[in-house]
Amino acid sequence: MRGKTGTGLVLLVVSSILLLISGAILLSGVLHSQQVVFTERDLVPSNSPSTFEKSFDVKLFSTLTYTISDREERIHFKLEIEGPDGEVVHKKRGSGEETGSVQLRGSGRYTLILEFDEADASPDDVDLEIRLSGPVLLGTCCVSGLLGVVYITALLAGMTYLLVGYLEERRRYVR
Amino acid sequence: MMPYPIFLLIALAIVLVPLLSASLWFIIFSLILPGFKDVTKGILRMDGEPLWKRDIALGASQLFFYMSVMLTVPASAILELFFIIPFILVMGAANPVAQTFSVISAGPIEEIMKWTSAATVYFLIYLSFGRTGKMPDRIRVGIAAGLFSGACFGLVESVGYLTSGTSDLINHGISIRTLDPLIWRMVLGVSVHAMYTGIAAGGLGRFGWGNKFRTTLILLVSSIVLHSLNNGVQGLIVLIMGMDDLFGLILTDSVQMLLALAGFILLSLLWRGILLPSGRVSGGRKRASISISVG
Repeated sequence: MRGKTGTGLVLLVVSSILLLISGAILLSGVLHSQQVVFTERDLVPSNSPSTFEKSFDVKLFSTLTYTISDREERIHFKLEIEGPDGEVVHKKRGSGEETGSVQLRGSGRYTLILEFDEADASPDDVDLEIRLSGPVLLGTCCVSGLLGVVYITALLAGMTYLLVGYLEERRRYVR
Repeated sequence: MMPYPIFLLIALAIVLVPLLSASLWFIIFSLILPGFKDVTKGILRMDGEPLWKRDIALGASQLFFYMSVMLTVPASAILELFFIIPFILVMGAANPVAQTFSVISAGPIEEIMKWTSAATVYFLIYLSFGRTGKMPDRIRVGIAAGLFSGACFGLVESVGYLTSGTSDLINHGISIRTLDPLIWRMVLGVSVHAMYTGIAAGGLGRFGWGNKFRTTLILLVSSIVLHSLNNGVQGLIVLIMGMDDLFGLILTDSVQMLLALAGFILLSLLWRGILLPSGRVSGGRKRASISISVG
């Protein structure tokens, strides 16, 4: 070890490595949550006419984000999300491009229902992207936050060591 | 759906690739800029100075990294947002003219913020040398400060763009449109930011009033023009030539590479003292001598 300045430098290097790891963990959670779970191609015809649906499983603390777009702005649609007990947890009517997010209350099997006003419309006429962010994002945020606390501690300690080492060396130099 | 561990590996790569790219480019800078290693060693006190001074200098460089990032990234993001909002309100977010103007506006905003950061780093280096007379050539120290500040900004920006690019790649599959921005960011993302700020900060060593101020301003404007052209070329090709296809993408990449080449040549000329005379600082203040010749 090379005295206080050396310790300070080592602590700063350790803090940088922690910052990289913490950032990578946070990014992995963000990337995982941005993954498209299903698109318009996965929708299947429902019992009602001009209506298509898709069921999906949800774990705790999940948020569903949807983007639906019809570039020609010809089609009018109604998007519904049904909970495990059959209750409608979200309803949206629109045309053109619509984006939204829904906080899903609990785990279970949810169903997304897309109903078109136009009788000749099909899922091929729209672009639909469904993303789910859930426990993985929450977990990565927690781990990244904990590492962030250790990182800040190492950074402050490193800066303190460098400063104290610098003052000691200056005093020695003046003598 | 892909399992989480794959995303962790991808995220590690996203964080490490810009660092690797920056390291490789600094090796290239040391090859194309003669004496770059000596200037860096001088700034980092790695040329025979006591060990504690080297520790302090290396530690300070890491703190300068945080300072550069804090100065440039949030300020640029906020200012760009303020600039973009009127265009979006008037024309709409999907309008190609609004999109082109918004990316072109990033040039002046980011370059001015990075120049401010480089100037702060340069000033702190200047102060740390005091009147020891050991400070390397001022213009080269300015360029080195610019390369450093620009690379710091480029690193953070590249991580952001690589994240969104990777997300596109995962969701929309492998295609030239999803791969092109990723490859561009991996290869040139950090280096062009470093190069722009290196050019802009070349005038720091000659900062002063009158002609000296003009020199500093010309170099800053040069970097802004290069950056704005690089950002806007894709939008301009689509707007003016209507080429929103593969050929347009290849043309965009070619123009961007030519602009980068022009920037590296400009940087190299500045470093070699061809565009600006060398600014070596002398040790201590010299007495002014007046000679009167009587004819």
